[in-house]
Amino acid sequence: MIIKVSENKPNLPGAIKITYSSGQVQVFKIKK
Amino acid sequence: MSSSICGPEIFGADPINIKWSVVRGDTASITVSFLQNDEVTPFNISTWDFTCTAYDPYSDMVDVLTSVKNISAGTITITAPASMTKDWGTGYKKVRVNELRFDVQATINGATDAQDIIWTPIIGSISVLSDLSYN
Repeated sequence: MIIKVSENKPNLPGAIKITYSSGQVQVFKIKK
Repeated sequence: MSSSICGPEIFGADPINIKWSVVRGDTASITVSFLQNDEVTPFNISTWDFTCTAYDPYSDMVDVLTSVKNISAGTITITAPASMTKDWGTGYKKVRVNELRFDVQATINGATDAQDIIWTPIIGSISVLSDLSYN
């Protein structure tokens, strides 16, 4: 038997980039 | 005795977790860019509203940070003014005087209020470094 579980999510961005005032940058992929 | 080879797996909401260093009494800001899957093209956030809040466990105070949205760039700029950060921790003996929790919450507006979706894309901590110079 296969059980499929899925979560309902809205249309979300693929990534979020954080830019700090120091100029440092972090990029995170959004899990979908 | 038997044991399952299937361990628990963690799914669901998984906001990104960041650590933001702020010097007490300084104006601090970060820019958050929402991007499409190519990680370059801005994501459409025209119908989104944002709230960014910080919680100081020592004073038990909640501060609402300002967030300014740039629709064409798909960004929000979050700012903690100096008048706010000057109260984030006391003393001079330690370099790190406080650690606040904060998050960014988006309201993805639907056609009606009942169709609004709340999403918290970012959680994290604000590490407050002590300052010596006083304005």
